[in-house]
Amino acid sequence: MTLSTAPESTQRWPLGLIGVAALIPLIGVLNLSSAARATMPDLWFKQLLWLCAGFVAGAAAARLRASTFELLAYPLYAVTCALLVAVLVIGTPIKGAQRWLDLGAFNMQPSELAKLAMILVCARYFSRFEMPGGYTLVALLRPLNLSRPLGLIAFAAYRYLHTRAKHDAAIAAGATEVPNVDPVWLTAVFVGVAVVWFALGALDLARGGFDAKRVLAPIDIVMVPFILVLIEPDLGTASIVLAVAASIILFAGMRPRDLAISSVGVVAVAVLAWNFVLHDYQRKRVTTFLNPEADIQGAGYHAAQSIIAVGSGELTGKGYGHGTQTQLSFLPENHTDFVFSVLGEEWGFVGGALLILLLFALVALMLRGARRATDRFSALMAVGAASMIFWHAFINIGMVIGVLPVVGVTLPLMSYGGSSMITKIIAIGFAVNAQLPRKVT
Amino acid sequence: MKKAFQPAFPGRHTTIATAIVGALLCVHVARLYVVQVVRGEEYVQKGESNFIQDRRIPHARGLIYDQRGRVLVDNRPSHDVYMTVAILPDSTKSLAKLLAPLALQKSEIAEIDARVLAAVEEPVDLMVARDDVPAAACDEIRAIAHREDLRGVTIEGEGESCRVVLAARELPSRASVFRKLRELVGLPPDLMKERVERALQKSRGLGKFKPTLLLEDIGFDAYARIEAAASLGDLSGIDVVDGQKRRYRHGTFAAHVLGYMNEIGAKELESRKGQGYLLGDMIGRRGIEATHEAELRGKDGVDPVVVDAKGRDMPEDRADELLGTDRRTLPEPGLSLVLSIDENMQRTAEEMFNGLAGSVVAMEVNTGFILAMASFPTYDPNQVTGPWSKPYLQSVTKDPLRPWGNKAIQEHYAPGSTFKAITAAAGLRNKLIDERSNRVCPGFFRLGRSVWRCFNRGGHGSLALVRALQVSCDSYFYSLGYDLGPDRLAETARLFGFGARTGLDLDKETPGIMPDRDYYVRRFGAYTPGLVVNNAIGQGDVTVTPLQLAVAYAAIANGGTVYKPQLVRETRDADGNTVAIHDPVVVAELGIDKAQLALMKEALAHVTDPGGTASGLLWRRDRFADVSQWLRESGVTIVGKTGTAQVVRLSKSVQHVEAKDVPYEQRDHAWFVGFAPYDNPEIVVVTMTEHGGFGGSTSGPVTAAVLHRWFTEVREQGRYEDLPALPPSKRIIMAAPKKPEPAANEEQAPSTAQVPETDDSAPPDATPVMPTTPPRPDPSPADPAPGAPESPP
Repeated sequence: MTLSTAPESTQRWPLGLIGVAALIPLIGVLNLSSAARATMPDLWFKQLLWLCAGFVAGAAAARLRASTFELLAYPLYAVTCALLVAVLVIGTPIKGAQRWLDLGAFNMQPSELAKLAMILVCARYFSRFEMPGGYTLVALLRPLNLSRPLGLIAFAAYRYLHTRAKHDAAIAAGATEVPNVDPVWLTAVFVGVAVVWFALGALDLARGGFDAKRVLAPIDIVMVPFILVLIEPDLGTASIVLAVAASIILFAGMRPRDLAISSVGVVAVAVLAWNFVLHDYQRKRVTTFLNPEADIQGAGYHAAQSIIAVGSGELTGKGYGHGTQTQLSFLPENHTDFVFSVLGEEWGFVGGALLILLLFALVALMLRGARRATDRFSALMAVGAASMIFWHAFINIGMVIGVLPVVGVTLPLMSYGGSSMITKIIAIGFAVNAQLPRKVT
Repeated sequence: MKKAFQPAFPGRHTTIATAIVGALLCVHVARLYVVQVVRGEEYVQKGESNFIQDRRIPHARGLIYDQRGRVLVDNRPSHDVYMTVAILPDSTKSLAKLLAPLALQKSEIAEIDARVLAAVEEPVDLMVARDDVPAAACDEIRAIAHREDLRGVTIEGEGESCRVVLAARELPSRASVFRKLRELVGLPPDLMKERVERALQKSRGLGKFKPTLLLEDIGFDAYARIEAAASLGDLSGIDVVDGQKRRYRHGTFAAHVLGYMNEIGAKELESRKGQGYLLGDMIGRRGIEATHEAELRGKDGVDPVVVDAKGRDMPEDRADELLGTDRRTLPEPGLSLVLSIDENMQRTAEEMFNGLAGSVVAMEVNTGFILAMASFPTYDPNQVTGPWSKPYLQSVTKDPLRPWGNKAIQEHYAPGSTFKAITAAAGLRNKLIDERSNRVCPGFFRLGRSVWRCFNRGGHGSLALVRALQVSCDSYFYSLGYDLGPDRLAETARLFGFGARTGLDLDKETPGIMPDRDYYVRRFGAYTPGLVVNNAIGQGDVTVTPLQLAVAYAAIANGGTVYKPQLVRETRDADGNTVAIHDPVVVAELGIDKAQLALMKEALAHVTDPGGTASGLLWRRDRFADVSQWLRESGVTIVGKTGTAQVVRLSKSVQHVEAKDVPYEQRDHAWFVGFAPYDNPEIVVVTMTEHGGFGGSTSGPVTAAVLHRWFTEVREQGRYEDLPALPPSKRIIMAAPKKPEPAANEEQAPSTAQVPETDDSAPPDATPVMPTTPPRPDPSPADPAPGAPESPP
């Protein structure tokens, strides 16, 4: 790693971006001190420490050469994928999901790292992969390549073994409710489709001669971490990973016809995913999102209480420390996923709209990195970073105010959490980095 | 060496991206505007219903006094047992913990649990939970039992294996708690079981976090025992809360007038929406308690409490800050009623009644106010509610003599000879007879081929009105009735108030039957002249209630004014100020010449003369001897009439059976109606003894005894007009209910009220704070007490 030397006079630090990036987490600390007052009174201080740590990491990210990141992209990606596999095997299950890796001194969430890795690796790959007039769907997917059928077989096997193991464990424990094993026909369909697909791909490969490009596809870069995160299960992070990659690809440009076809495809995949991939609790969250009143004590509880908190803030809010939903613990997880409801309750529409405005300013200023970057990698890195912040904010606020279903996505720079905070500031560091003129040596 | 600035992507890419970001975030701002500004008010309300829990401050129900201001009904503190299902011990959990070293299946634990619960009620509550436990596990189990402080666990056996033996009554479980409670209160198992099931029913769903009434009014001794047991930690989930119970001071005294209260039913709760009733409230069921429910009932106060998501009470200053310091609404006590009932008169009527079933009514002839109204057999309204009530309710309901009904107004009987005065009045009104017009009694009355016999087979010869009433000659009234015809007889009888409800302020009054031509046409298809002949002597289809008869004779006594009978003299507020005074209400004027009424009065005055139908009254030697002596010596003349109403049409063969050999349910009903004194009548008393045989000897002395009490005692020193000012019932302004910091497992325990010491004679005025049904009503409707006498026969 080579740190760049002192900035030259021609370098213009994006002070506006840094200012906004500093202001939001400070508001977040203030908000946390109210949110966790009853339960964890010193939480805001811990968050302040994480913020400081984040600034150090962010400054480093801003000052490293972009070429260093280009170099680091693939190794980091490999490490991340390894960690994601590790977490599935030896991770600590918390609330039914294996997301945490016990590293002795502290726990870490490899899925946070996956977001950063995704930014870098997509920026790296798509900065080198150019198509005049924009990407075509065929170029991105390479449908006849062998990676997907093989992945499909692996996925079918994993699903079968996984559900089988759960089933056996439940029977051994004498539980009253025994989860079903995937029916054989489902696995058979998976494998059957995969085998036909594989045969077609192999035929194609045999005709054209072996080449890595004929085995792998650009989309595989996205799919590997996406699927690994999805089966943790962590729908929130998985969708962020996917959204970041999609944002980078879209920014780099797609042909309009291919864009339209892929939109239709996304809808089709979503329908399939609803039926075969989503877990019961996730499906329940979506259905309660559509009708939260129906199940106010169950899955809809978070959503309903959150909207009550936000709505009861009215125009100017109940005042700092006076939110009844927050202070009387009607709002669960009000220091992590639901910090925005605290803000909405205590500061009202004025506070909520102001924060959204600030987040917009942050994303817009980060995107300026893409406008000012002179090389594709920096530009796409800034886009990836900005899109990560944006999708986090959009999904989180959306679920808090009842526009989107509840998935576990934090509000960037506001929610409590060390790795989340550091990751977000590093992402901002990427955007700052892109705005600094590159020294050509 | 520097390149000229050349962006990697066209600026338009960034512009589009920024625009998309902005547009998507605008969606959120718009939604935020809708949620917070447009619909904010709605969510403020929802938020408040989250954290405000209205605790109720119960009101004191109005008292009921007799006409001299003596308390008949008041409220007394009661000790009520509440249970909170969520805090009751869970034996499944403790067993799972205890037997963890054995790594049992859930189903095995459940099986042991079921056996434990069953063993609680067995004579021997020891049961082997597990046999052949390896030695290593034994030690572990022993250690767990020690650590968790689980009582009732013994480990038997040594060496290779051991047995885990549980004492079911000691091991904390729901069943053992209920069993302990049952023993402390002294309730039979079946009653307890029923109560527990009812309470569990009520506390389904979220109700399990709220205290639910399990047993009410367990008495002080049981309360003390429970508190002692609770202090040892034996009764988790059980709390005793101070409440109020209606106290009928003299038990069965005037039960049918006063009525009783019990728990409001789910349906009634629905129909009385908006009147402030909550599930579990008591409501007046019968008598004055029911008809004057609106006055007696006050308004509950509200004490809003701030709670957090787990239902824990927040400290007082939090509530002050959120809801203001003047958030409490104080309860308004109900209005008190001064009845026209006189305690002494009522007591005399009840003590002197001379039969198994029947009723006594005493009424002021010049006002219509009821001085006494007794119905027999009677019941004790104090025993109608409470954990022990069920067997009592069953025994009362099963009694063939129908104790629930107020026989003075809910039963109607053939009036018998007492009706002859009405027939006479009809004759006078219609100018068919006067004091001189004679009719001949040959001992029977013949109409075509039908013959009606006079009770005097030999005939009374020629007689006029006075003598006809005095000897109660049937033939005279047969022929008078025939001359009148059904419609003219019915018209006069209706003026007296027969055939219609009197309008007394008690529920379920029956109108009786006053047949006219239309009635018979409806009933038989056609009218035959013989029907009215029977009615004229009070037999046949004509039926009256004892109260109607009292009203009618009062009109004869007072010179022709029919008053509406009333029970409430005055309404007073809790400070003793009169709110309303009830005046006498005139229903009708008879329109009979005063002189002619006086004539009837004179005729009726001879009832106790030698040869009169009630002459025996003067010479009683039994417990009515005092009354007879007073009648002979005081010179007060009872003006009245006996009546003997046939219950079954006797065939000739039965007619000469000795009275005591007739089965009870076939004996005649015995009436005696009398008023006094002769010159300026003051009160009228009707006694009706079901199956009492001859009116003069069974019912007569009771009427005389009530009159005796009036003239010797009440009239001189105890009339309503002399009612002293009632002392205001003390009203206590509630101090803020103090609640100790709730311990973790005492969440939502009903706050214990401070009930001031109450002098037994003073009306209780405590308004203790009770846990209330929460603002969100439990979705599961509570069934009214099974067997509760909501509508006794």
